[in-house]
Amino acid sequence: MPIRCLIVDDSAQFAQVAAELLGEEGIEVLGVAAGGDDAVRLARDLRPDVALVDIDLGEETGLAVARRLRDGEHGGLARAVILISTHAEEEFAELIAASPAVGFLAKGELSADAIEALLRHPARELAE
Amino acid sequence: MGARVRSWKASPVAAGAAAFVTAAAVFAGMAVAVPLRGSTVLVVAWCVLCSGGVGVAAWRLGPLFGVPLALSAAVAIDSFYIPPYRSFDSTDWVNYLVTAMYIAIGVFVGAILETTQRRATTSEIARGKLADEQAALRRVATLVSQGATPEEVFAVVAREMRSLLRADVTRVIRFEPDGTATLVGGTGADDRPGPLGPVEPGLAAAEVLRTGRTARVDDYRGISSELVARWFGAARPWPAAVGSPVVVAGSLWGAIVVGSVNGPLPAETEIRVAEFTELLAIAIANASSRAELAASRARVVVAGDQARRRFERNLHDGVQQRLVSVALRLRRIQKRLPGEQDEVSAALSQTVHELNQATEEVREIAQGIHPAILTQGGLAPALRTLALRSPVPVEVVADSEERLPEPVEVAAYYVAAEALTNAAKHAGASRARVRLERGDGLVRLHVSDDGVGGADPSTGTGLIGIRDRVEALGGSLEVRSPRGKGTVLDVALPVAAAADRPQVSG
Repeated sequence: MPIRCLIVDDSAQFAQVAAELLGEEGIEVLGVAAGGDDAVRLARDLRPDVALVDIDLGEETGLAVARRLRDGEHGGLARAVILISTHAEEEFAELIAASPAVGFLAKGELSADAIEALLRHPARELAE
Repeated sequence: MGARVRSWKASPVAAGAAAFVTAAAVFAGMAVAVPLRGSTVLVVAWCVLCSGGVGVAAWRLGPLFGVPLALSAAVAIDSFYIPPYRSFDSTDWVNYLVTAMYIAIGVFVGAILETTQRRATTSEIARGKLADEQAALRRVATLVSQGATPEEVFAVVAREMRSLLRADVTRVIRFEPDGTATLVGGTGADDRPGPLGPVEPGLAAAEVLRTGRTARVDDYRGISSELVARWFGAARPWPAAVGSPVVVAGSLWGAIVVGSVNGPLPAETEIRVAEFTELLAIAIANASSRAELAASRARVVVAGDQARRRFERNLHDGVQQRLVSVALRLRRIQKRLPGEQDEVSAALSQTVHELNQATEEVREIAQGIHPAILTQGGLAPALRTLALRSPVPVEVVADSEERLPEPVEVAAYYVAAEALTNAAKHAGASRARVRLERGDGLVRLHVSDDGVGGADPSTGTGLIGIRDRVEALGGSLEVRSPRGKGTVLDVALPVAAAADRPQVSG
């Protein structure tokens, strides 16, 4: 059973490449949302296993979107959230730690293996 | 003395006649009392009494009475009481003529003395008034030169003018573009600043507004009492007023109106008010150029920050996304290669690796231009992240996680960044501390280290740069850095003021 994934990123270019790459690597990409409202609507319909959320969504912050996807009704619209960014993890370490995301992936490091590893061993649990 | 001077002024002839009659009566009394001259004791007592009477008259009634009384008493005593006696033959008209002449000369001399004395007194009062006026002007000028706010100057001008001109009310009024006026300062009645409503015809201020010149209204009875009450507070009965224009940078800014409830103000009021209006105009012009300067300084800083942030965003949204996307695309290609293409695969791996390095370099540049965490998380997380990157251990205490206006967050962040850089690079500190406090419309940032101290905020571009940045936002920066005792930086930034500042668009 493949991991069902939602990508939340305002960079259409990156989202497309990421979707193609992850698809080839065996992850089922359900859709791409450019902003928080889109993400919540898609997640409510599709109930993804994981949402990849860009921290910097232009006007919005991905941290707030991550909270909207994880908090709220029925234990979260997405079963897990992974934050992604072109920034380095240490730039946002505190905000990532305070978020409900299971972990962080630099956009350049994105792969099905990395996602599976984080879902199996969430960085949050490791840190705790 | 004032009342007597006024009555004398009113009728010099009557006063002279009164002095003449009094002196003649004294002379006649002396002539009638001639039988007393047998006793030396009585004569001496009589002389003493006369001298005393003359002295009292000169003191209380002035030289106009003093001189003729003294003359008639002296002539009478010499003639009737000191041998050889000369009798006053009441049948001979020549005696009356001579006596009258003596007394007339006395009145004449007395009148001259009186006039001279009055002139001296008047000029002394004028000198005193002038000195008071100079002192008041000097106080206002000092205040202006010290860069006091216009509100302070309005209040002081209103107070000084009221006491100097002995007016009942003073009003500093600003004319608004819509034809109304605003009270900005005043004394003598309800003087809370606020709108006065339309400048209705008939008010002294209306004349000033219409003509641009000093105006005088000596009778306000033609104007509704409600209007007078609004413009002059609760002053009753109807005041007389003088209004003087305040001209700032060539255009009519407002007026000073001086009001009196005891009839018209003295003729020189206009001139004296005008001197104050000039000082007031300077104070207003100074304050407005200072405010313009401060605003333009703030705009320059904010525009600079916004340009940096825009630059960082463009890098992030453009180059960085594209670089990452290209790297991912190359990885896809690599995966699709058939098994025997090892050389190509290795070359692709190398390319992806170099691409990732390039991405990393761009990321570092972007981070230096504008720290993304400041936008995403605010000042407190940004300071903690800054502390993590510092080679010196830094303790960060933030008593508020609340988001602040962007210019304030950016300024505080750069202050802390500069201070921590100095602590590591120049001060050789072994630890540092950052404290962020919020309160009284201010943000306070306190950065201290245990390094070598001796930092001079007037040299070295780093500290000057952050001082400029802080002061541009209306804040203050204090640096204490005694040699060998570490460095302490205290920054206070106004939050409301920064939020009110116009944002530079684009």
